[in-house]
Amino acid sequence: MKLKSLSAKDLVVPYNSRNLGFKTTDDLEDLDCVLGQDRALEAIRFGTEIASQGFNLFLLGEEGTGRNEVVRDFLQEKARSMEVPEDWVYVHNFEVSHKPRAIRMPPGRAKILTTAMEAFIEDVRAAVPDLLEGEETQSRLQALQEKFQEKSEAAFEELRQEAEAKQIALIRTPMGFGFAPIIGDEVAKPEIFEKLPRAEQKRYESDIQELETKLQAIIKRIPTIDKERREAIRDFLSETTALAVGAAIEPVIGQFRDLPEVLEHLNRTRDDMVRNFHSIHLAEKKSESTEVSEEGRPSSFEIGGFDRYKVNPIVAHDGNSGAPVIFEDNPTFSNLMGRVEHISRLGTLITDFSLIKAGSLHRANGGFIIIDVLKLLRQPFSWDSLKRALKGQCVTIESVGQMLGLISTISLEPEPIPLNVKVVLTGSRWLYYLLSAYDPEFPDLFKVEADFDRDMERNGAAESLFPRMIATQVRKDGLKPFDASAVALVMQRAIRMAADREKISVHQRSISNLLHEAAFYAGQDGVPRVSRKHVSQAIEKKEARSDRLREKVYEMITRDIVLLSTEGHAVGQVNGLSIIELGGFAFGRPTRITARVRLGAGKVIDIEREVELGGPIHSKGVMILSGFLAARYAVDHPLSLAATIVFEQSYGGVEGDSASSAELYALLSALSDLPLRQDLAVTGSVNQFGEVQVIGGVNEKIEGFFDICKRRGLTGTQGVLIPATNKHHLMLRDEVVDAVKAGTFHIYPISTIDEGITLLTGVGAGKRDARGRYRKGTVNEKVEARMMAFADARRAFGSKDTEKENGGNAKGRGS
Amino acid sequence: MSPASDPARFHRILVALDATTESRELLELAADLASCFESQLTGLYVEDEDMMSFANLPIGREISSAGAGLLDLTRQQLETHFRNHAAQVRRVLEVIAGAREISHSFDVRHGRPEREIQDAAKKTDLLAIGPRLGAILRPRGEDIRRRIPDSPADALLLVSATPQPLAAGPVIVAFGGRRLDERSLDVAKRIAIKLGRKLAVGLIPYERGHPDMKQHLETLLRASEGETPAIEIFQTRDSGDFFSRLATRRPGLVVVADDILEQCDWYWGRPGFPILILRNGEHGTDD
Repeated sequence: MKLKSLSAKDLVVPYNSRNLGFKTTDDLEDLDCVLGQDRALEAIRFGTEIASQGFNLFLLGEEGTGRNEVVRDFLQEKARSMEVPEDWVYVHNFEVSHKPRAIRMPPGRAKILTTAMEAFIEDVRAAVPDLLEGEETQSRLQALQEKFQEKSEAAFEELRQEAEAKQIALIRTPMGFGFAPIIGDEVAKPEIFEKLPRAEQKRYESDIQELETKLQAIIKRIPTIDKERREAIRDFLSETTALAVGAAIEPVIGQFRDLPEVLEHLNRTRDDMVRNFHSIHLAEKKSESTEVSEEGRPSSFEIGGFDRYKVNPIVAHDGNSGAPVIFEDNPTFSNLMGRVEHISRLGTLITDFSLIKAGSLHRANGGFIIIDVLKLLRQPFSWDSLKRALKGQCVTIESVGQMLGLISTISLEPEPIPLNVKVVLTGSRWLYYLLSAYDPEFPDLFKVEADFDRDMERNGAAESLFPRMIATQVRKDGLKPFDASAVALVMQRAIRMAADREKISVHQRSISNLLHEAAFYAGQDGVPRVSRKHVSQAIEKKEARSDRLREKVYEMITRDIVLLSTEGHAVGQVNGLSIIELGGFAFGRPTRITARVRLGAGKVIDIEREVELGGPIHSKGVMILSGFLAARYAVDHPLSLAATIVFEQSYGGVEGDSASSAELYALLSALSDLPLRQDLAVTGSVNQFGEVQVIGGVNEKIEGFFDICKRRGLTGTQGVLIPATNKHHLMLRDEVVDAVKAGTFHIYPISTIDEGITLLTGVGAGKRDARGRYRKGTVNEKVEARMMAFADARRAFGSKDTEKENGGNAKGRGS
Repeated sequence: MSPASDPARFHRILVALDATTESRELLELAADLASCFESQLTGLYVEDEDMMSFANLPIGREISSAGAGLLDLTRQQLETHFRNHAAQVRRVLEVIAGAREISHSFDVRHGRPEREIQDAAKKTDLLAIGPRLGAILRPRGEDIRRRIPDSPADALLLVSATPQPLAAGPVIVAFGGRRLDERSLDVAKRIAIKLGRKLAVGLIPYERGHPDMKQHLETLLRASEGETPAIEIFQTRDSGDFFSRLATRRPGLVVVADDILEQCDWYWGRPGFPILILRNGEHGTDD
C-alpha cells in the first residue's frame, strides 16, 4: 500500500480573516481577563485573600509569560479597594539616643506632623533667641553670673582680708594657692623672715596653718557653688524658654491629641527643648561662626541643634490611595530592609535618626511587594533578611555588619516596625523546585504557588478571546490597529509558537514583540492599519536578523562543503534532521547519517558517543536500535554484527533521540544492501518494537530540509518523513504549504519503521509468514539473511579456532 | 606718621602675659590691634619675685585648687614652672602674631610684675594687661585700678575672660562730644573697620560736653575719610548707665577716655569685656 503524504490542509491551521467577525482590532472590546492563566490567577486570588501567616505567593513560569504585568495589574486593582495602611515616623529617642523610636499614625498624618514640627522649630528658632538675647534676660543672666561669682569670690575675699589683717598674703601658686608673710607690700624674703624673732615666726606659722585649713574648706565648696550656678542658670533659662516653647508647640499638640504616642513624644520634645534650648542655640551659633560644614552636626548620636526635634516620615501615605503595591526591581539588602545613611564630618562618619531611609518592605507594609526571586537570591543577605522579616513579622533596619555581629561599636538601632505584607516572588520553575527542595523555611513562608503557562487550549472560546487580547495589547501600547488578516497571522504564529495545533501560545513577550514589529513596518509603509503583510514581514525580518548561523550552515550544504544529497539513492546513508537553537532562534539542520556493518560481536557503535559528542538521550536512542535488531532478526542466533553509526560532518554535540529512526534506516540499508532515497529526510525516534515516536521542533526540521531542497531546486519527489503523531504539531510557513499544495514537496507521516523503510527503499518491508519467515526480496528478509550470515560466519570462525587449537595440541602431543 | 601727628595710632604695644586663658585672649586682642595699626607687638613675661620668695620660705606650702590638698613647692619646681610658662607663652605669641603677620618680640624679666610692667610700658604706646599682675591675690581688678594711673601709655584691659569670642561683638565707644572723646571715636572706628565689626556709639552727656552731641557725632563721622563701619548710636544717662548697658550689648571691645574710670570705680570688680582706655594727654614716649 502506497504511503500517502499529508495534504496542505494538514500542515497549517487556516484562519480566514473574513470568518473572524471583525475588520480591525478597533472593532473589538478590551479583554478584561487574562488569557490562559486561569490556574495561576485562581492561585493569586487565593493567596491575596488569605490572611494567615506564610501564605505568600510564588509566581512560577517562563520569562515573558507576562506574569509580572498580570500580577501587578491584579494587585493594583485589589489594592485600590483595600485600606490605606498606617504611616510611620522615626523620632529622636530622648532617653536612649542611639535607639530612635518608631511611631505609627493614621494614613496621611505623618506628613502633617512633619510639616507641623518644622514650622514649630522655625517658630521657636525665631522667637526664643530674641527672648533670650533680650536686654532684660541678659541683665538677669548677668546678675545671676555675678551673684555666684561674687559668692565664690566673697569667700576668698573674706579669707584674704583675714590674712591681710595678720600681715599675711594669699598668693597664687602654680598649682593653687598659698599663704606667705608680707612685709611692706611684698612677700617676706627668706633672709628677712629668718631674722624675725622666733615668736613672730611661730605666730606666722600658726596663723598660716589656721588660714590654710579655712582655705581648704573654701576650695572644697567651690564645685558645689559652681554646680548651683549652672543649675540656677539652667532653671532661669528654662523658665524663660518654657513660655515661648509651650506657646509654639501647643498648636501641634492640638492637632495630635487623639494619638497618645505622638502626644507623648510632643511632651518629651517640649521638655527637652525647654531644658536644652540655650545650649543648642549656642552650639548652632558656634557652628555658624566657625563655618563647620555638614550643618553643624555633632560627632555622636546626640543629634545636634534643633534637628533632633524634627520627624523622619519613613512611610507617609496620602490617605486615599489604597494599599501599596511595590515592585522592587533591585532587591539589595538595604533597598529591601532600609538603611541608616551616614555623613562625613571631618573624617568621621556620623548618623542620626533623620538619616534612616525606608526599604521597600516599609513602603509595602500593609500591601504587596513583588520581587524577582533570581535577583533576590543574587543579592547577598537579601533572601535571609526577607525570610527573617516574614517570620518575625517585623522589619528591622540594621547594617550588614550589625546583622553578622561584625561591628562592636554602638550604631544606630532604629526600633523595629511591625510588618504585615504579602510578598509575591516571581521566578522560574526550577528555582521554585530548588528552593522547595533545599530551603526548609521556604515552604512555610511561600505556601501559594501560581504557575503561569506558556500555552492554552485552542478551543472556540480561546479563538474568540485571542483577537481581543491582541486588540487590548494594541491599544495599551498605542499601536496602529491590526486588521483581521494581520490578527489571523498573529494567531497562526501563536499556534506555531505553541508547537501544537491544539494549543495557542499566550507568551506575552513574544506576541507583544511581534505586534510592535508589525506595527513598525506598517508605519514605514505609511498605512493606517497593520495588515497580514506587515506581520509576515515582521516574522521574516526577525528571522533574517537572527539567521546568520543558519545561512552559513545552508551555504556550506549547498556548496557541498558539508555533504548532503537531496536526490538519488545510497546504501547505508540517510538524511537526518536536527535542530540548532541559539538565542531563542531555532532552525532545522539536515545532516547525513551513515551506517556500516561487518561481522562482529553484536555491538552497534555510536561514534558520537564513543568520542563523547553524544548526549545520554542520544546514546539511549542508539542502544534501542540494538534491542530492535536483536529482537526482530535471527532471534535464535547470537547478534553477530558490528555496526558503526555516525552523524557525518557533525563537530558539535548531538543530543536527543529524534534521529534514532534515521539511524535505524541507515543501519537496515547497510544490512540489506538496499539503497535509500536521498531526496527524503527523516526525523522521529523509535522504540524497540519499531514504532516511530513523536519528536520536537518538527516544523523547523521540515522547513530546514525544504530550504536546502529549494536552494538546489525542488525536484517534485523531495520530502520529509515525520512521526505520524507529530501531525498535530504541524504549523508550517506558507512557502512550504504552497509547495506541498503544488505537489513539489511531500510530508509523510510514519508510524512504523517498516513504513519508513518501504518508502525510503521502494522495497516492501515484509512480514513474517506462518513459518516465521520473511517473504523473499523484502527488506526484512534481506536484513535477517545478512544477520544469519553474520551468525554463521561467526560460528564458522569459532569452529576454525577450535580445530586449530585441537590440531596444535595433537601436534604437540605427537612430537 | 608720628604718634603726635596721628594720635589714633599705636606704634608699640606691650602685652603682659602669663599662661592663663585671659592672657591668651588678651594677646589675641592685642594682636588684632597691632594688626590694625601695624604696631610692633612685644610680649612680656615676668618671673614673679614674690612667688620665688614664697617658695624659699620654710613655711611656704601650696594648697591645690583641684583637691585642696597640701603640696610642697620648692625653688627648683618654681624655676621649672617659670621656664615652662615663658616658653609656652612665647610659642603662643609666635603663633598668634605669625598668623597676623605682625612684627613681634618677646621679653622675660625677673622681679615684681607691676614694677617690671610699669618700667617696660614707658617705651610703649599701649599696654595690654590682664586681670592680675602678680602672685599676691587682690580683689579682682584692683591690680589694674591701682596701676593704671601710673602707666604713661594707653591701656588695653581685660578684667576677665569674655563669655563669647571677642570677634563676635561690636566695638562700643563712649562719646561725650569732648576733644578727648573724638580720639576715642577715631580709634574705635578704625578698629571696627579693620576687624569688620559694627561700631556702637554710646552718647554720654557730660557737663563740659558738646551741647548737641548727636549732631556733632554725625558731623565727625561725615568728615572722616575712608570707609565707614555700620554704626549704631545709643543714648545713655551717664557713664554709669553706659557701663550698665554693656552687658546686654556683648561688646567685642569698649573704647573709653581715661577720665570715665574715675566715675565708675565700681566697674572693676565685674566680669566684663576688653576695654581700651585712652589717656587724656600725651601717650607713650617714642624713643
